[in-house]
Amino acid sequence: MSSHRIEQKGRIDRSQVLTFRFDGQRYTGFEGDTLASALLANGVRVVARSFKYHRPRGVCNAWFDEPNAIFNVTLRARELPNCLATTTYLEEGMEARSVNAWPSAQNDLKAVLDFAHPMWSAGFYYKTFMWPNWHLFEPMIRRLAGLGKVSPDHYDDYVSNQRFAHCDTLVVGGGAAGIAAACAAADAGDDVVLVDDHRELGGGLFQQSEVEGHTPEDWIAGQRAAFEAAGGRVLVQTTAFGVFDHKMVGLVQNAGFGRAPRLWRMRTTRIILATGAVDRLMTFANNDRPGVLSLLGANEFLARYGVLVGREAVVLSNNSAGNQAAAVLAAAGMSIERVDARDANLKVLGSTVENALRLFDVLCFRYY
Amino acid sequence: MKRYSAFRLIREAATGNQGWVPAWRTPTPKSHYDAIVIGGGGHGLATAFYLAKNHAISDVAVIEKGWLGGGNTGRNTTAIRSNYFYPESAALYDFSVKLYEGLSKTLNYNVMFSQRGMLMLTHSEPDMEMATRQFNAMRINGIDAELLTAKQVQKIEPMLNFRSDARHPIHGGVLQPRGGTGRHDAVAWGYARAASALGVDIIQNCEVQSFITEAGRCVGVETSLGPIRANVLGASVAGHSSVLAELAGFELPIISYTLQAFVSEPIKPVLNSVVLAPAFGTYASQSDKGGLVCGGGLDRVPSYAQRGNFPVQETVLSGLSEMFPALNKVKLLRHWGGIVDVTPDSSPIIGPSGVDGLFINCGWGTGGFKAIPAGGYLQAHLMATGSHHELSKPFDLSRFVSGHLIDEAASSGIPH
Repeated sequence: MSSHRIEQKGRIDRSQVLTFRFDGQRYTGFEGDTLASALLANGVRVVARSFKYHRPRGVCNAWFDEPNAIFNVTLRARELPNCLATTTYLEEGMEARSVNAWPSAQNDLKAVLDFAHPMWSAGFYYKTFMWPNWHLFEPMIRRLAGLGKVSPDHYDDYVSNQRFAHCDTLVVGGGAAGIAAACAAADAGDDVVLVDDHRELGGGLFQQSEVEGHTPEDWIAGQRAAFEAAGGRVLVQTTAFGVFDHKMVGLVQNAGFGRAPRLWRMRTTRIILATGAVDRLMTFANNDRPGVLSLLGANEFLARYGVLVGREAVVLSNNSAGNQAAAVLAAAGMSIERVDARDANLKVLGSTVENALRLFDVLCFRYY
Repeated sequence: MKRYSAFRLIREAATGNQGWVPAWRTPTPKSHYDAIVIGGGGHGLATAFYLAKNHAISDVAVIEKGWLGGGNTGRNTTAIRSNYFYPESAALYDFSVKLYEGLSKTLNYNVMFSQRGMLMLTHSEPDMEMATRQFNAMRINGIDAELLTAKQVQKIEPMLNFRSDARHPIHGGVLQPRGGTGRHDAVAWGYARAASALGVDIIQNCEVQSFITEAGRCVGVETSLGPIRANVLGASVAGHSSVLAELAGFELPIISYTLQAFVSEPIKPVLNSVVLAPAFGTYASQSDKGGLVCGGGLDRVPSYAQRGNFPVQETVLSGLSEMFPALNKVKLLRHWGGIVDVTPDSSPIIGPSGVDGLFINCGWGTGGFKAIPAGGYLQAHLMATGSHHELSKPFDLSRFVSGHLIDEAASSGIPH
């Protein structure tokens, strides 16, 4: 479909083509895509604007840790505000709009604010707008702030179901560590619930070519079958959002776009957090530019959606752990320039990210 | 103090923003001050500022165990109002509102006092009668108030639930137009900066461990940074007033509870005022950044736990979605708790503590933020002159002995 898709890769169903719109433009993606992966596959780089300066922003992570790609999404005459594009699964006919940008994220008139950026230094609003009166400025500032618009429509059936449940051991996170912990606890006779916020168990395992001699899919399916045979329960698309008094864990189970999520009160005696790791942003000038992604994000987009975020990339990290992840991207056809932040060769890139992005499609980083 | 202004912003922008200096100094504590203020929240910092500004006492230390405004000043829902019932309360809280009205210019720091109106809904004819009573009391006390029909309420807040099947239909409301919200952190930072510029020493990460008493008089404190002495001391330590009182050797008629608050993801403007629905016990406003800020009643059980819990979260947020059904698709961003000190009559305590040389300013319950300028002003008066200002006299601790209570819980129906 596009040069960003890699054949045979990903958990998407290529037989089901879905059409959607972003900022009025028509695109296609596949069943199993998220809005973010479909946009990346279509080569869309600018998906949002920063809150204050309206600098262009692109997708930079693949899941809940994405800070930029926030859309108002309409489907079946139902509009939900501030949907995270990386966790919103694509459906036929979705209409996504960037927030706080006009007329579009690509061409945002409010980007004019960025030209005067030295004026808007941190906390500038405490230092001015006092004379003659704050009330003169406040309405304009309120209109400039905020992300998505909330539709005044009330959806009568948008009411959450509630479930009350209990278990001996709650495992949060269905990656390798969570699966292993859940299986061990279930084998020991515990009543175990394993929750994961993705559609399927596996976590980062899809980035691996094999797990204990199996494909990741087969290994996960085998573990899940054994776990469930031992009495374990699996909740996918479920996020644990808080541990409250007496080890009650709040769970929110996604019921699909436009439907109110289900709320679980899970009472436990043991909680195992196996939530994995996320890349932290590396600090360098202009690290917020579209085209700068986390290395983990780039690998997830390849593993889950068959999307190669760029053809030529700089991979920047401050430790050796980036090597394997970079090798996976290279094997999928990405031409990679490796840079270690501990290395003086960093200067090869020039002083700004713009220089790097002029030479390469993307810049991925890994930082612990 | 280099003044803040639009002109200064432009000049700094042109010269690379190199000329800014920290808003307040970070001195090492001296061994003796004229006055010590315990607690670096809004009330404490305001006390120090007014000591220096109104009474020319600038040899002052503000001692804070954590960071400035890290207690209830940074945890409240920023509502400012004076819609109280009794003349004593009305005078006190309206004095505060008036100080807030000029505060940005007084401090040269934009505290963003936004007088968007404080709107209390009514849901029935008896509700409306009680609202009329409150409205009349406010007008008699010289406070701005308007009695509204349902239609007038709808004009202010069109997102409210006016459907025929609403669980608690809206009958009308009382509005205090001069009420509204302020930028809570800016209040602490603004007072800190202005006080520091007048010579006040602001000392953070310095915990009071005990009081130094000589011949029955409090003359200083032992702190985690060593002993600090002073001629007079004042304490504004909301949430821990009775803990501090115990250290100093006196008792307060205070019970402490957790009060929770919530903020949503930022959305474009939908709320125009601060709306309180007594039927749900929920109130909400929208911050300038776009987040819906909401809260409700106290936790039921006394506690010093500065954290939220699930049952209250559910109560408050289900109330919010009953009030504004269209807002139930908005996601919650943060949820937290603070500790409030509640007195038997829901009115504050300002005055001598009973230990010579130590004054207290506490017991503001859920409403301390709105009273920061007044609390600081009156506490400074007490510490500087040794006697009450007219406005603080009725709020002396002795009222619990004499029985002259100012029972705002019973009169204006505040939920504690």
